[in-house]
Amino acid sequence: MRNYLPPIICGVCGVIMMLHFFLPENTMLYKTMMEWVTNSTIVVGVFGLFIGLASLVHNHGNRIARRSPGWGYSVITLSFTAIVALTGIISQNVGPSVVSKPLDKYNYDNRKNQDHTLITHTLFGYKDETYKTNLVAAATADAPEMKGEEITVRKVPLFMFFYNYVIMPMGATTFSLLAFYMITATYRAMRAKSWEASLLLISSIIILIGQVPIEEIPLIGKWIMGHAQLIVYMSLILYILYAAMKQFFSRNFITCGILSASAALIGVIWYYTPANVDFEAMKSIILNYPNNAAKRGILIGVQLGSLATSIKILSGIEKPYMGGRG
Amino acid sequence: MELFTIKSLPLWLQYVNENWFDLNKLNALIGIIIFGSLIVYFIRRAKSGAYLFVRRIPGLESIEEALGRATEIGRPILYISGIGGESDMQTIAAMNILGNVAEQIAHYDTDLKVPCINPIVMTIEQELVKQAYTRAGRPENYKEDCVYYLSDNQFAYASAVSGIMVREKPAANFLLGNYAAESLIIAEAGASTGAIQIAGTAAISQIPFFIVACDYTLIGEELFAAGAYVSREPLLLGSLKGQDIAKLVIILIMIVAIILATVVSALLLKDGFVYGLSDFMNKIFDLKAFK
Amino acid sequence: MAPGSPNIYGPKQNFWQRHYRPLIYLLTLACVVGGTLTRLPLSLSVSDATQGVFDTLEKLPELRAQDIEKQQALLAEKLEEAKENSGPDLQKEIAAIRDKISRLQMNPKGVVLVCIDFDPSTEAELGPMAHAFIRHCFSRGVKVLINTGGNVMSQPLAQNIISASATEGALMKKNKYGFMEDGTDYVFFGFRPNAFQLYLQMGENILTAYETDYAGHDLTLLPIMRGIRNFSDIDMVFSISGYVGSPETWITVGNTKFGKPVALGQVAISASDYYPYIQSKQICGMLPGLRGAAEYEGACGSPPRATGRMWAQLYTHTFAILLIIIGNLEFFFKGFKHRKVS
Repeated sequence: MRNYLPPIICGVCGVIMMLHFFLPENTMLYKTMMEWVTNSTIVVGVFGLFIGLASLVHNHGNRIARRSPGWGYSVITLSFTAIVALTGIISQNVGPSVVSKPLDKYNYDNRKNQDHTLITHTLFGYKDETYKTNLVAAATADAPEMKGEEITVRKVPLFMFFYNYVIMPMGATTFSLLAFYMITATYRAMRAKSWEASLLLISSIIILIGQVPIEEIPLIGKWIMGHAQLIVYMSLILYILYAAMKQFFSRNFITCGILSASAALIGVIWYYTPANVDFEAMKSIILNYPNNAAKRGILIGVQLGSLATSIKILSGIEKPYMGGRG
Repeated sequence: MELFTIKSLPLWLQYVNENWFDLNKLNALIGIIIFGSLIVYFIRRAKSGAYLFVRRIPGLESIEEALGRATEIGRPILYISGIGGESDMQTIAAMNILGNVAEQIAHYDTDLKVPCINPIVMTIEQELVKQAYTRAGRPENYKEDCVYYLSDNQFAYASAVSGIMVREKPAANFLLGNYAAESLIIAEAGASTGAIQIAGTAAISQIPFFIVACDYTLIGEELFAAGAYVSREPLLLGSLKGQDIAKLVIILIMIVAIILATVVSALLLKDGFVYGLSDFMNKIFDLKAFK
Repeated sequence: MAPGSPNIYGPKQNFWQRHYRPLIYLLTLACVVGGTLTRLPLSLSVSDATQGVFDTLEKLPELRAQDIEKQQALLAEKLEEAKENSGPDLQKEIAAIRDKISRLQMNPKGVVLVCIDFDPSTEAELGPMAHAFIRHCFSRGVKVLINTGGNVMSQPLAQNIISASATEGALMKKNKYGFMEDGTDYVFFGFRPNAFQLYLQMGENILTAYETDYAGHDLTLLPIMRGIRNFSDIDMVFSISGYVGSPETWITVGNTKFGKPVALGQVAISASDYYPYIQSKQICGMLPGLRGAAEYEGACGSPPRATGRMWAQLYTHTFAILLIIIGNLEFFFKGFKHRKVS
């Protein structure tokens, strides 16, 4: 019974869902099935939450009981699970007061008719977020009566306090680690070790430059972008000449000659190309053509793989819910 | 140009369309039947003993090397099946591989740790690992606590996994399944401990991070092929072959459609056989062919 | 990379090779802090993907008018048919079409469904685009329905964003577009599990998917819901998601199934995955990451939340390019040195 009942349930449910896809949408059967499936998955999802909680308590409880290394962290985990769960259950009116203080109005130079006000949330009278630009300072003169006006918006529930001041900063901090990891990964990985790596390198530089307006960097931005063509072509020619020299030292004179000729050809192209290099347009071309082609190829493969896996599960060839093979 | 109109069909077909079967999805049904038939055909061929070639996938070849290394050093093996739910295909593919890996680990008697982000995935994986140990003839070595739930928050999970990697220093990390932004955090934490890392995902945007930080990476559908590759079971190999042939059929259709579309736009055709054929090829993949 | 080898340089290393990681981290920190402290205006050109989102929102009244016209034409056809043979089914159809027309006419400027589906980790990139888009909707008189996707963490975040966008209008002495009232100009449905089935149910009747709004008010009593029953009364979907799979769900449900224009707001890492959908016109546009948010703010005149953060991105990108150049120079000269010695 244990061996054949789960695959039967899986197969029957799978076939029902497949039939549901083919039913016309305005039929009673479709609507009934839809409601049944939605309600069932909600109920199963909620029970899943309890299973997770039970596993968490069991796991950390065992660590505390056995005084395993790091059991103090388990105490903290369990206590905060209980505290935050309780704060979500108790009344919405329990929590610290939060005072909202509208900042100075500001007008954009080119949109004088639109007024905007930013609100800062202050906790116990301390400003925890401010936002000013040069435009704000200019606009203060237009509307001095709005400056410093205090308005109490509402009491923030304790749960929202935890969310705004604990969960949000911690989530943002963990995500921000990615920036550092990515930069070191970029430094380690972006080396022109082969022609494919060179292609990757060149396209990633184009996209990096196209993504941000480098000409806006104070003092040097305009100089860099003004000489971008020089930098790009010079680098390309130098790289090809370096490769040619490698071939020369390895006594591959024909390859050396071809590469030198390519460098000369690029020099000629440089002479005839217009002065401005539009990195944003190049970035769009890379994103819209080779990127799309590659993504579509992988997507089709992945979807076919998913389809095959689904058929295998529905037909009982693979039974992951029963430990792999039944 | 519409392929057909509902009103042009016989009355009984119109009745069927309104009450029993949406004719706009007929192409999907035909596709499933063709695809399923290909899979069934190759499964039967595999069962009858025919040799089905599958190309070498370096990441999967190195699983045994990774397990052996972990056993020699005496450190545990960490298996992470991604952040997807129980209905995510990538998680299911990762679970298939977990079954095979757990069976080999049971033979080597090495510690296995499987931290989970989803409680339902955790219960499935607990059963899976237990069954794997039983199949290997080592049910007594199965530890209840080896598969456990951490948190369902993506970054809380990533932080916890990084902490496990740094504290327990597993010798081999398997990062297989659906990943999002936490992929680089986990992979870099593992790389910093010196563990051998085998990663695999169909999430295209995370593949570059795995390639940089891990030793072996399974890209896209190699993850789905892994279950068949590792176990070498005829049923699974047959379905893999069927999937590949289906892909070939789609590629051929796409090539024909591209040639026809190019000819139609180059010659500015508005009617005729070539135009009709090109339009038909566009419509057969449309889920609203019938208006 | 050699298996299990954390260091790319091998045994003999100089100072940089020994300490490149902490040095790079410090310099990255300097770039981010410098960018945060830079308070200069930044002008950005608007990309086609961002322009697509902006143009679709601007065209909503037109789309709605076209929808009303189509329904009126259908009503005229059915009334003609009824003259010849009137049955109860035909009468029901005519009543349904009349009901639909009156619902569409209640919101002539259009209705948008905004799905806020990200958590605090991606708030830096996606929060500003949510603010900018909702403010743009309010400034055009478009009604806004807001829900969250598959993760419960999005709910308090969505609450913060909505209350900031709505009450910003309320506190202005001379605001251009009036006070934004919960229940009249916008409604926040809150979180419900099982997003995919929920979206499908919304196609039938939103009131079966959500019975109350986030604050517990009965949806049938809210003025905004009088003109909105299901997906056919919604003109556009904007999904702001930091999760994999959520945009595909909206493309499947919103565009393929219900034929509505779908726009996406994505983090920069995932944005490149969705360019194929723009080409195949399955989505009308996309805001890719912080740059997309900054472009949209500039296009619709929203407060420069994202534009201010672009400076940090600008400096960090420039630093990344410099590092790539330095790394490659190091690689080339190591090759020269190696050959000289051998």
